Amino acid sequence: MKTKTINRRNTASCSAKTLYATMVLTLLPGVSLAQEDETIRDLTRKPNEIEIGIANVSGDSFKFGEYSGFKDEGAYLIGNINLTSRGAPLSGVTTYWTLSGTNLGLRSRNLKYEYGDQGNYRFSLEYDQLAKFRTESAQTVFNGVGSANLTLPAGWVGAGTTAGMTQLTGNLKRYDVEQERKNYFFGFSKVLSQEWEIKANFRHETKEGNKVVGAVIGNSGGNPRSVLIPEPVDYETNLFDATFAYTTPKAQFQLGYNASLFSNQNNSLVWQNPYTAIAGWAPAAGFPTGQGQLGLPPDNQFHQIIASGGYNFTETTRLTANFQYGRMTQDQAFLPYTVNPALLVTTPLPRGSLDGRIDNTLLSLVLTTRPLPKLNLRASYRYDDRDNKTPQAQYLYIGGDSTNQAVTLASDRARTNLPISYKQNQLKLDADYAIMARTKLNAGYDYEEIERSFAEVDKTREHTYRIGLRRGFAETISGGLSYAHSERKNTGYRDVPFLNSYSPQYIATLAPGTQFDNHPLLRKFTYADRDRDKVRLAVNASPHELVSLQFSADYNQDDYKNSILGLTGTKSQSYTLDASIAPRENLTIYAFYTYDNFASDQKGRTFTAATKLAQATPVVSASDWYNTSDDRADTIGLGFKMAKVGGRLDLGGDYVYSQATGKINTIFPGALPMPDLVSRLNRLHLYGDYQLQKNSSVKLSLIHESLRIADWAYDNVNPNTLANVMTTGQLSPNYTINLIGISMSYRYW
Amino acid sequence: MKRYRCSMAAILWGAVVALGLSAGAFGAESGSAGEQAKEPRKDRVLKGDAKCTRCHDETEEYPVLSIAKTRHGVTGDARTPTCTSCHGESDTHINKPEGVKERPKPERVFGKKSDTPANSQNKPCLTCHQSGLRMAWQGSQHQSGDVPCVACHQVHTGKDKVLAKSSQPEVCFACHKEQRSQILKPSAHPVKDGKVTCSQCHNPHGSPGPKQLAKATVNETCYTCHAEKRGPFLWEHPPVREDCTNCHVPHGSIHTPLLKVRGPWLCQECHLAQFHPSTAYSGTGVPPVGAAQQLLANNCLNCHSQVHGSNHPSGPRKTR
Repeated sequence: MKTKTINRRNTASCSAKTLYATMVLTLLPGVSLAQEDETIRDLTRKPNEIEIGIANVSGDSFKFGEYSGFKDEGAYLIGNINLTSRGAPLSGVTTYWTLSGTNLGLRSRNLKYEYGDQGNYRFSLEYDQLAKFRTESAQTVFNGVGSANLTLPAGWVGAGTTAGMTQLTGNLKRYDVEQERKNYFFGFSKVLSQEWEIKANFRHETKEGNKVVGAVIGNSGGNPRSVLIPEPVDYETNLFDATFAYTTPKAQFQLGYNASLFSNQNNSLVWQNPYTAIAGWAPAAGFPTGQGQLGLPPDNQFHQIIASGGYNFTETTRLTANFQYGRMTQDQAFLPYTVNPALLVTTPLPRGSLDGRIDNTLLSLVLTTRPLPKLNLRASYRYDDRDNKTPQAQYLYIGGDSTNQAVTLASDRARTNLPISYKQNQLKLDADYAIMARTKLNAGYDYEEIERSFAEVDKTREHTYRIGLRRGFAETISGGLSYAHSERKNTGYRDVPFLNSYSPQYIATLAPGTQFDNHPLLRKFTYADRDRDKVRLAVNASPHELVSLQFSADYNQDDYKNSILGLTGTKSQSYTLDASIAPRENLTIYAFYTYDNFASDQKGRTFTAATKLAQATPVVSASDWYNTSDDRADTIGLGFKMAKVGGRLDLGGDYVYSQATGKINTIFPGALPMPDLVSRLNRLHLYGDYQLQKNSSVKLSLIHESLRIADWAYDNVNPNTLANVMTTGQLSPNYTINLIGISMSYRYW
Repeated sequence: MKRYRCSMAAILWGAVVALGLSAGAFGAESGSAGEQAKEPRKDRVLKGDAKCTRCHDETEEYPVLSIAKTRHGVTGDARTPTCTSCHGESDTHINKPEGVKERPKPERVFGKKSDTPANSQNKPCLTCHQSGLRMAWQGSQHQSGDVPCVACHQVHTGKDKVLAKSSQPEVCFACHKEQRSQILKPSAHPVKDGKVTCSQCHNPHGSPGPKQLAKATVNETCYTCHAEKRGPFLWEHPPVREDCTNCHVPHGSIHTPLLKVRGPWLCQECHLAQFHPSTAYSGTGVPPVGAAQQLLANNCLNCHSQVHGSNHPSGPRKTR
């Protein structure tokens, strides 16, 4: 529809009025030449554009300005530039430069400069900033927000639960949860000859700010003592890539190198324990002496070489290949088992750092051919191997900085790390045949085999069968219908992680029939036997020259048919109806509606240490529970665009309403329904561009946006609502904001 | 029809003016008239374009001359195409054969609704653009779906919508309607803010990765911006190591941060051990009825916060 608008606008320029005007002007030689020069210039030279203005936001809301930067009430600078210098048509000049900037007055700004000699070399510099404003309503009692060491305020009164913390409410302080990325790019490319070219890019990114993290002290899953605290974010990532490319019409080849180096300025987060010691803890673990320490994301590196190529055997047969070998490494010094010096550690760490390494090998081959004018064939093979070469060791860990270290290996605290590996082999075959003009019938078959180490399943095999009918774009009706059915089976399911990670001495302490961690009837959905069905339908219709209709449907169903416990099925559906009409040459009106739904069913079984044996084997039990999760989203959009109203004014408007609802229901004796999760977004955007003169215009933008969110995870949850978790008390976003922006745009050539 | 009327009127008027100017010229310098009449038409923006721009000039409905605003209009670059290298020599279109009622179309007409098959439309593009990011075009989903390059790219304009961060999603959403709706959910990447584009994660020209991802795997694509989650870690979380989309949806969710399902049920799809991991959670844990620590705020992550993997020696349960 957009193309139509453009065409119509251009058609409008050739309207009768314009034609008569042209006729008149051509009778006045002086004027006509100037006018013609200007028309040619407008058509063939990019204008330099500078836009400057002011925007006003009517209220404070982190969510409204989550990524745009309009988070506070008040005025903001509107600043956008687009400057270009290129040679005139047919001048033969190949050197050029561009300078573009968007959102220059906001914390979502971008500025890019490029200089080059087309066909020879090019270099670019770019700065990009992106702030993310998560919430303005989080609270904490801790001092040192933003640092890696959080301390309790003076006079803190520790207690076993939040209810006893008499100093909690009075010491709550609000803090902003936000992060900001700053990216600096440098790019260079050089054409060495008609066939050879080199390219190199470098990106330096910093990410600073904080996020909320759960920090627990305790040795029992059922009786933890946790606080949600601000975790400092101070990351630096350097990315580099270089490619050496050879290109001819017959063959293309490229050799490249990628590197990504991540570093974190903080390796841990330490906090003072606001809880007094409870039963099972070493006394020193509680307030006032006790502390907790979280490991923060460790420094890591990734290096990769990529060789890719394509070869055209004939005009209709092509082979492409892609080989990648990459290595992920991480070797940051380990933190101690506990940060509390009073806790006894009798067995030292088995090693000082992980020396973690995963070697990734990927091979992709694609052969396409058209043996007959109406027949296309495709065959592809993919090999994806992630070989984890991290050394294994046994760690006698301390549960949540709360106890002395176990003195025997016959403890569930003796654990061996599992360097999981993954290997995928995938074959795809496809054929399509033109049964008539613009109409193709296609069929395909995929085979996928995945091997894993230290997983419940050694191998899964999946067969997929596909069929479809497609009618290409046409004046009246086009679209397609496709169906795919997959069947995945595994080669046997065992609780391998448990058997390999826990010590044999500990496993021997468990009674026969209870030597498992997860319930033996559970089937993790990534490895479970599965039947998958996918149906897609798309119809594009133009019942009239000025009207365009589109309907699309997407239906996916997964059936984990052999899973007695765990995820048993999912269903996702999306249906969209789009309509647009262009009743006049300069007017386009559109509307759409989308229904989107994702539903999942799962089954669980509640059991304890005492009932573990009895609940291990029955296929059906009174302790079984069922859960359904049903997320639905309804989106309505309306809009219009009017061009050259009165010859000078471009007008437009968009309205969108998006309602998302999450219904969760658990079926179990005594269970109550969960309240609905609801999000309602209303957004109206009106904009206009009034041309003052040939080279200047004034722009107006009005946004009215409201968002209402009901989320039981945060609503009515104060920092001391939970006995064992001191939360942030943050509020669900709810706002109504008006934004008005006015700017002047100036163009010159 | 209106367009043709307009064009015809313009041609007629052009002829009138040309005659008028010619007449004036005759009056002034009658001796050179014959030479002027024979002077070949000049190219306007591309080498050899005169045979096209004699008709397709500034009055043309489609802004043909605007190719000059683009990299395809830099004639000093030896690689720069001409009109005919893309549209074909089109002799019968240029010189309408006698006895033919309607002027035949050019050899290659571009557009989604053109009679020229997509592969034929794409052929001139691939002459120069089948290396680098477009190496895997043949056999890609868009290629095998007969999507012509011009379905997404606008060639005769200085601003190709699909190449600009702010307008690219609009182009993709013309077909990918589901994603247009999903990015409006409360938890989403900043696509609607113009700060993340579809092509940062996807390569629409084909890739060795699934879903036409920019990188060869889902995780490698995500690590481009989330390198802190790359590890390797001492205590790996298997579904995380294998595929981020086991728990996350990339385009939008009602469950922050971009989760498929809300915890604790998402975690319970794989964790069903004794005591709290296998407990049935329901409305009994929501105020004012109750307050379950595994349900409210960050649910399981109130304690097990290191779900992407832990490098702390005491972190096998992802609490450190």
